[in-house]
Amino acid sequence: MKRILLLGLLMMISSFVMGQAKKPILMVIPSDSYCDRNNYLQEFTDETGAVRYVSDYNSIFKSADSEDLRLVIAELSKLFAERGFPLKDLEQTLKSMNNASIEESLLSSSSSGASIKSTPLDMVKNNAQPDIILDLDYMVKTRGPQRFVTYVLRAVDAYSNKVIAANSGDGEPSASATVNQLLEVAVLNYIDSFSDQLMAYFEDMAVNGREIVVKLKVWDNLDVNFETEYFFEDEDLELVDIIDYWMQDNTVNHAPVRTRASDNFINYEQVRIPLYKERKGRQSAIGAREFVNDLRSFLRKDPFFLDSKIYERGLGEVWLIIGEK
Amino acid sequence: MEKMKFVNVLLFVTLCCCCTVSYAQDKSVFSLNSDSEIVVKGVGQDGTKVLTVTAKGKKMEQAVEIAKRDAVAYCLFKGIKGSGSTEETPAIIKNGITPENEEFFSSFLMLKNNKGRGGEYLRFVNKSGQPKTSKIKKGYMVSLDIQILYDDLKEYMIKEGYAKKLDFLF
Repeated sequence: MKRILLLGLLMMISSFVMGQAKKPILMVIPSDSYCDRNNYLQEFTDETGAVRYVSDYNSIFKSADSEDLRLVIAELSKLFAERGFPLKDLEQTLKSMNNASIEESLLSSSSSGASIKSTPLDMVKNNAQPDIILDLDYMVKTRGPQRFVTYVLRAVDAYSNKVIAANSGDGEPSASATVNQLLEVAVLNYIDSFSDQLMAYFEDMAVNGREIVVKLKVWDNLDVNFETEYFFEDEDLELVDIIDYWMQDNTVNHAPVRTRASDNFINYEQVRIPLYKERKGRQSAIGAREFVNDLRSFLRKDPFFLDSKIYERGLGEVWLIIGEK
Repeated sequence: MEKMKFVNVLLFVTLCCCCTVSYAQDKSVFSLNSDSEIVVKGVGQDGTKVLTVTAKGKKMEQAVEIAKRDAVAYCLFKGIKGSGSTEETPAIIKNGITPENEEFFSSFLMLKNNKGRGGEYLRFVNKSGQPKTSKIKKGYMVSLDIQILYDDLKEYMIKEGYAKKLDFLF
């Protein structure tokens, strides 16, 4: 009895001390090649006058031909939900974004008639933004009287653009099975191998921390840049070097990669940040923003006295713009 | 002289007994060195997998039981190779048989005996097809299709704490 009580107490303490890491948002998005093949494209003319095409997801789900795609997404959603990862649905997200923007434009204050404050940047940020993109492509092919499905599914980190998991192959040809049945079999055939690769990614994250991208920039009205020197830890160092040291000291792997830098910007990749941070005696989950917030605090202090703005691009990418808020 | 003869006979009998026991133990308890060959034949909508298993045993019935047991054991520890258009299935338990889980899995994968008693693995064998049998030097080799309740097996291992759920970190 004593042992059971002790075990229960230990479990309570561990759940209190160790929080849960921030869960990434997963979304199935049809690949560009799928959109191109099926002519789901939006034409636009860029600043140079050249005609360009982008995938038009809104038109996919309005089309009657999207039945197969809906089925694959539904099947993947079901399987991921069973594995504890309910997927964010692209079609519903697009619908709710459209509805929300209509409602927002019609909403006004009853006393003064004021509208909701929104900048063009807010509109961009309010996009469907998954942390992990499940990039889906498939084709139904024929071989004599038989049909078969070529299926490609990749999980891509939306910030580092790294492929976390990938499966591809041809399904069993059949003369009698419907396209829906062939697609269903393809999804089921690959799901265990695919989720095993995702599991390896999460296990690596548990040991080595979350991989994020950090970009530092300066406002153009600032008289300081990343080559400005400060007397820091008994030597004269450029701001870029001081930030390098800070990044090394505060990352899990102590080896973030500075991919590009100039006097006006620094880009860090493979920045492995801890999943938790102690706050009020308990471990609370952190993402890229919380990590960079500590760098912001560091730069506000002596000898820098630099204020900065955090621009959050998602769970895995953040910009710190130095100079002012 | 008579005494020497008796001792020799006794030694021979003891040796034979030891060999029989060790052979029986080898077959009743799953070993990672198992020579069964297993491939994925197909996947079911209900979280099942159909595996084609080739296994060996002293008797035909024993070979069939070994095939069923090894089908479950391979799902757990070795993973199953794909065949043609089927994708390989990864192992559910990544760290193999360790001192911490050895007792559980010795019992879980205990081969069904003459009295029909066997490990819990039998719960996850849904059905099996007719075996194709061939006689080999030390017994029989069988090849048959076995349907495994794969998702249920994985769920059970997660519940027992031997495998992790995909969202374990979050």
